[in-house]
Amino acid sequence: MTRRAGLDLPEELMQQFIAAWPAFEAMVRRIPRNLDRAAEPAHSYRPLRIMRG
Amino acid sequence: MDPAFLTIAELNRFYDRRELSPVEVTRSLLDRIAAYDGKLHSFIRVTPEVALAEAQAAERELAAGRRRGPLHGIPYALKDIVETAGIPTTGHSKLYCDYVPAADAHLVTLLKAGGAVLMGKLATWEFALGGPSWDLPWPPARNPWNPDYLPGGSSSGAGAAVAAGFVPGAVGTDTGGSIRGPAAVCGIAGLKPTYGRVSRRGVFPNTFTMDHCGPLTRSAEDVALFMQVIAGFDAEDLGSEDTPVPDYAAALTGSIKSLRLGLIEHWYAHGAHPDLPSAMSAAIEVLRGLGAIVEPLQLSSLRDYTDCKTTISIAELYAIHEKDLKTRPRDFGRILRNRVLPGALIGAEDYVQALRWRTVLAREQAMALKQFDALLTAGALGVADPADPDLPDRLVSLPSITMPFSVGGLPALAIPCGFGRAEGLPLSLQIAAAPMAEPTVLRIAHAYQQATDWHRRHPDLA
Repeated sequence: MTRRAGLDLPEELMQQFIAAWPAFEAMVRRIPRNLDRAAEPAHSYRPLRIMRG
Repeated sequence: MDPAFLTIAELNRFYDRRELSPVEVTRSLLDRIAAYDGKLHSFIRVTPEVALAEAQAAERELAAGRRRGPLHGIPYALKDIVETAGIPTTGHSKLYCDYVPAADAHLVTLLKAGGAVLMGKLATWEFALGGPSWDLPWPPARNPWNPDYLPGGSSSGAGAAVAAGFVPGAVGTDTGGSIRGPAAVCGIAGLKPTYGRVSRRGVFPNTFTMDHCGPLTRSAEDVALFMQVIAGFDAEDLGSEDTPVPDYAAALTGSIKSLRLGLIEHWYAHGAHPDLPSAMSAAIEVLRGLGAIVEPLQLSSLRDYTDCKTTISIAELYAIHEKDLKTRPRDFGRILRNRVLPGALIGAEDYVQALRWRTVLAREQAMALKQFDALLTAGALGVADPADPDLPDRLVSLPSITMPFSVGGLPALAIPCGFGRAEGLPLSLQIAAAPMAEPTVLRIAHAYQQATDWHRRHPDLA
């Protein structure tokens, strides 16, 4: 999976990452997938704000 | 007179009465840093020439009756992810150890215009996330209450420097708790302002939509004075809010009679330091004695808020550091590298679902704030961590009591409320309110601090 993501880590760094990953994988599995359709992402785009910058 | 533990408000009064001068105070604090920071490592770089030049300029102007504002002649320091023109800004990382910005961060421009005195750049967790780390070019900062313990993070140096009496105020940043955490375990005040209240321009990003810059000081009153200088709209910062800056000091009326406070006790009821519940109960009784109405409030769990925030953060962090992770992974500290690499494997659908969840959780807080003037909980679940290089990384495993108000973007302030008996280390309470309601947060904290003296206690470094 890391190689598909373009990461070619040295072996010892890869082993550290493999040890750390399961906790993150479990976290991502806890994200709810059945939210109400009206729950928009918190980053909704605001073109006026871009114009002011 | 030793200015080490004078507040910003007190220093201003001494300056006005000509009983102290900016140059005297700056020299005294530089001497203190030289004497004691060798064992605390709160500074990566002290800037004595800059400090003395700015102190001398401030002294001339104050003597001529030209006061620029509440930080004129006041020493401060910056977390070393805040860019300073001509002064290295390292992120406490090998990756940027030689980086010298050409321009100041916007908030530094405001501090300079306000006549504040820059004492130096402070230790931080690597790029405000990787810490505490023991494999970086500079050691991690230590807690002034007991150097065998850490000062929290990621604004570790800021927490340590203010608590140690090296500076009366410092600028930190807070994405998931990085101002409030150090404030909590160092026994000082730390404000994460409303998202967009203080410009992020020229500050290394951690999570674009949850990064906040804010002050760490010795009191809520000093937070108000510091915010008066650094708050404001910046058109160059896409997240900046164009909302007038109120007179924060005017909000410190001392009265919180009839304010309704929602107490989120379930967040610290289990698994917290054994002395925390009683310290919080005592704090609540003080607030009730001052006339506030404190009632229980139930929100989603810390686990929910932590997972939502961390999923968003890790994906954005990976995008920020992707190039260096692919080309020079060994130059990262181990903790930062292993916290950011998982972002490569978080799918777009996971990130978007976490953003949607953020809206739901933020709305939950907004609904609560229709019922209450402010929300109250603990500032940290325990006291400071021991300075142990073998402590396991708990970023994902340990739910955080500071992440909820990061998710909501609300102003949230940590102030001291007691000490853990076994370790003698500070405990903290946290006050949050609606977006841009910093005056309400500060009013409550100031009233509490007028009735208690936890904020007046300081460590003995000798």
